[in-house]
Amino acid sequence: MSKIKKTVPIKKGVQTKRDHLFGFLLMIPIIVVIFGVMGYPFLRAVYLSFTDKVVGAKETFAGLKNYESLISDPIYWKSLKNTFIYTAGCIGAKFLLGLLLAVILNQSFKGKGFFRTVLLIPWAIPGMVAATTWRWMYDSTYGIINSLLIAAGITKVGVSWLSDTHLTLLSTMIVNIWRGVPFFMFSILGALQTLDKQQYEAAYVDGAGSLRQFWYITLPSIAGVLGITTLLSTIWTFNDFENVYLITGGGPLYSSSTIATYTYDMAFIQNNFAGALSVAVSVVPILLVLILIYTKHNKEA
Amino acid sequence: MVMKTRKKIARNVLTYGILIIALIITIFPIYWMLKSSVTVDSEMYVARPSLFTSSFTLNNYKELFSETHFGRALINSLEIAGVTTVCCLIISILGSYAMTRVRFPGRKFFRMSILFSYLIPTAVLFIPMYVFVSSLGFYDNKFALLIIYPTSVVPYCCYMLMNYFKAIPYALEEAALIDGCTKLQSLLHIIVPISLPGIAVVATFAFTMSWNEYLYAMIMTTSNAQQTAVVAISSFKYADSAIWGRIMSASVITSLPVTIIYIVAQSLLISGKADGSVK
Amino acid sequence: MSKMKKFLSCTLCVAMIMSLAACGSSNKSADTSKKESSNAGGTKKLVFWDKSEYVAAYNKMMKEKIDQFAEENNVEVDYVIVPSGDLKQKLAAAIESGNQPDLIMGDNTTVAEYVATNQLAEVTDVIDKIDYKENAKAYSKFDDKDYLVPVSLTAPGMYIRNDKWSMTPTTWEELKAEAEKINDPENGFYALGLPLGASGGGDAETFVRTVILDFGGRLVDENGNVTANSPETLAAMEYIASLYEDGLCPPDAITWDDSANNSAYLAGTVGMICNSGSVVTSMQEENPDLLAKTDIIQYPSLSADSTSYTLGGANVFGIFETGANTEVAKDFVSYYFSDSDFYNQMVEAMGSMWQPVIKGYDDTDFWKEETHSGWLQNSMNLSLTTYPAPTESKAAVAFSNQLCTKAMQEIVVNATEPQTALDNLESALKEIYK
Repeated sequence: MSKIKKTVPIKKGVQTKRDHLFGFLLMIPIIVVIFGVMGYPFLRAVYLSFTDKVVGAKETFAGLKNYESLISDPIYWKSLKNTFIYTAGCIGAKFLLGLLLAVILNQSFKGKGFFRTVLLIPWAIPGMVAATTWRWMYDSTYGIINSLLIAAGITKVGVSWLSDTHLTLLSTMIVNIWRGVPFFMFSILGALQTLDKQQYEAAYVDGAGSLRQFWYITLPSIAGVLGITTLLSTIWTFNDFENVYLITGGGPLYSSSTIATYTYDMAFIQNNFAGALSVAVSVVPILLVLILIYTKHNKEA
Repeated sequence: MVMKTRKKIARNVLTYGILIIALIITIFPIYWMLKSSVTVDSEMYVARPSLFTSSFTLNNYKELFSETHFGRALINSLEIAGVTTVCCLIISILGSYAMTRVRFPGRKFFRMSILFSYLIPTAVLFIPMYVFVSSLGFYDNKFALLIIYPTSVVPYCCYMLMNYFKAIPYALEEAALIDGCTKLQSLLHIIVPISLPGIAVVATFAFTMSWNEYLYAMIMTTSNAQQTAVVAISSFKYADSAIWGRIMSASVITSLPVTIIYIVAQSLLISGKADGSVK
Repeated sequence: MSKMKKFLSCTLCVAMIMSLAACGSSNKSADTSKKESSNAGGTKKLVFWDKSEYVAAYNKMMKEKIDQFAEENNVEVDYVIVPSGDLKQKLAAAIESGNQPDLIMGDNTTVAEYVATNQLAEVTDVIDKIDYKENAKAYSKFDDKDYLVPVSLTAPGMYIRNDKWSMTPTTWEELKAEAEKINDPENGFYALGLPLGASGGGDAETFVRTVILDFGGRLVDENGNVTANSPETLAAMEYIASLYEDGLCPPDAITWDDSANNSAYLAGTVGMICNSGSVVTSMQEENPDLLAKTDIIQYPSLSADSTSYTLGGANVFGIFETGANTEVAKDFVSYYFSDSDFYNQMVEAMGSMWQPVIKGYDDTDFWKEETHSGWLQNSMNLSLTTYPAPTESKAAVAFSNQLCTKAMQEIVVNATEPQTALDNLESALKEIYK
């Protein structure tokens, strides 16, 4: 160690052996966490999805059997479709609403601090709590939402938030959106505040309208933050379990079933553990593709 | 001039209009949670409940702490979320620095595998993970969560931190390096202080993630002494009856710490974030 | 000099980080070693995962009992209360890692699932020592051997609002006819509160199977042959479907889990539910007025002279053969039943949610009370929810997969032809019984 000498001025491209070693050293804890703690369970899960595993019994290798039965399982396809609708719908809504609110909150007006604080709160509410509360509000008999709708004369008989097969998925999405908008709003607002005012002044002189300013200056400058926020939120939303599970349980008749709840259903209601793992593992390639698209796009940008 | 004022008024109306709608939608479920937690049970189970409670009671809160283990569970949550946040931050700061500002072979590979590890659904992992962690000797032990939570919190922290670190101009660090600083010193004395606001943001989110986690906490902790707050809430649901007043009061209290952190820190966070990533 | 300084600060930093990391991990390792030593210490540790009950007195009494047992027999105990909604995941994880408890308490259909994977010990020796009622003893059997130790019967009853219903329906047709008269959805009141959610709880499945039996249908016969596809089953399914299609149940009822019908009844939005005694217990605490307006009646039958079935479950002990202390667990179960007065106190503490499984406690003052006697009556006729199929894992799988509930949902939600839904039900049953 004492041999450390005055470092040669380091330029970006210059690589030294010491740098390599140093880099690895810093990475050790992460390597332990990612590969040490996660690696074995993940590989084990992938392996078990190719077996006939049930809880409490020794597994035997079953080849592609589980995956084959997925292909002919209409509920699997339904859940996959629902998962895409859920993810795309929620992300779209959270993105637009978050952007809108962030842009508004980036202006100066009276009470800004108050609004900014309050609008952030849903993100602080644990997902399990949010889902439980909304489930309670949606209820057709003693739920407040229907009670208000009827009082306002909008409907005569309550809306079946939790049982109308056309509505159930939407009901769960609303809760996810409610809780997720602040994350977008917060991230985008942070990015907006780093923007250089001079750019806008220049644009203003050039006579660009606010929409054009937004499109040509604001959006490109916050694209990085938008990208990472969307990516992180996509992964969360895609894998979201407790929200759907606690609100509709994926039902009725799997009308709001997603990959996460179907995995749970297979594992713990149908006691088909290997089958459940095959459902869960089958979407990993999809997520992988999403990430590849993101990283590729990000590099170009 | 009149045109301009009119335009300004219209703009204000629009601004406040949107904000007030957003505010109502945001607040209502929280209000309902609060309202339900201070309402007696008999008033809760009625068709067409009214917006305001006519039978205010703090009994649900009293019972929560006198008759259940919820107090203990809160302390557990605090311990777990606190330690997880600190550990994950240290790990992630070191790693993110390496991945953004130190050149070593395999950097890209690590970056990809971190993102990849982040996307693995919990549903895939949770039983094999349980088996693995209990083979390490953690059975019905809240500290098992200290091993598990980093697997999802660290990738998140790294991704956010790498973004902040990337934004710090090289010139700043280069000057220090020329002055004879080592890379580690430059990390501690230059990079970390500059990105402190960003680190604070990441810390809040890391805390939130571990505070709110449900599935792992549920299977890893069984006895009352080990449960976290979120798990304790679910234990107030019985096979065919749920004590809503108690569930709602526990929900309110569980939501409080993170909410307070956000409220106290948010102005600092948002403006701080701006200072952190000067280009 | 500056070299030295640099070196020092550098090592200091590294040391600091290392110690922080070590700090975290040493905490953990200290904790595990403590745990291991207590296990290796020689004294046995009985792990009991009990059900969490709405009646707080239950868990308290059980804890006292097991503590007493522990003291007298010099064993350590770990008494854990597990919410029933979490039991399956927790057990799955625990079994996979070899941390299963020695003893669990749960409803018979849930516990029976662990017989199929050879987790539970045979308990004939324990059962033989207990003076069971005949129909209660049926709950111990699985594949003709005793695997479960029945603790209490949980017979369902039909709750009706005597201020709404002008008569007590004795046949299913009467029930429907009267329901149509009192139904008032525009004012938020539905005549019937029958859950049809495939939530994993047993209420919906049990109800559908009860009606099928009453109508003369048999899903699976005594010999394990699938006999579901009969005009009787079809008629029963059409009857149930009509209750939903005619709007006699709240629209949400098709998603209701086992607690939703309780809440709806407590909210006064439905005029009838089928449930265990738990609703009585909640009403006593929260809504005595409603209790006064409630009658608990026998299940209707198809016609005046046909059999009316009462299907229901039981709470049972399951003893893990794969656990570390199977024998201690058996000793505790015998110990629990040896003090039959205590047993009776516990049953009574549960209100009428529990009915006794052992002989000799039916004549107490408690069961003579008006609010309680109906439950005892219902428990006398109680049959397994899989009746008349032989009790084996196939029957348990068919029940826990909620095949009848799902078939009903298809008719009500997807407007599938009843015959088609029945055909699907039959093929699903055949898949299990092949």
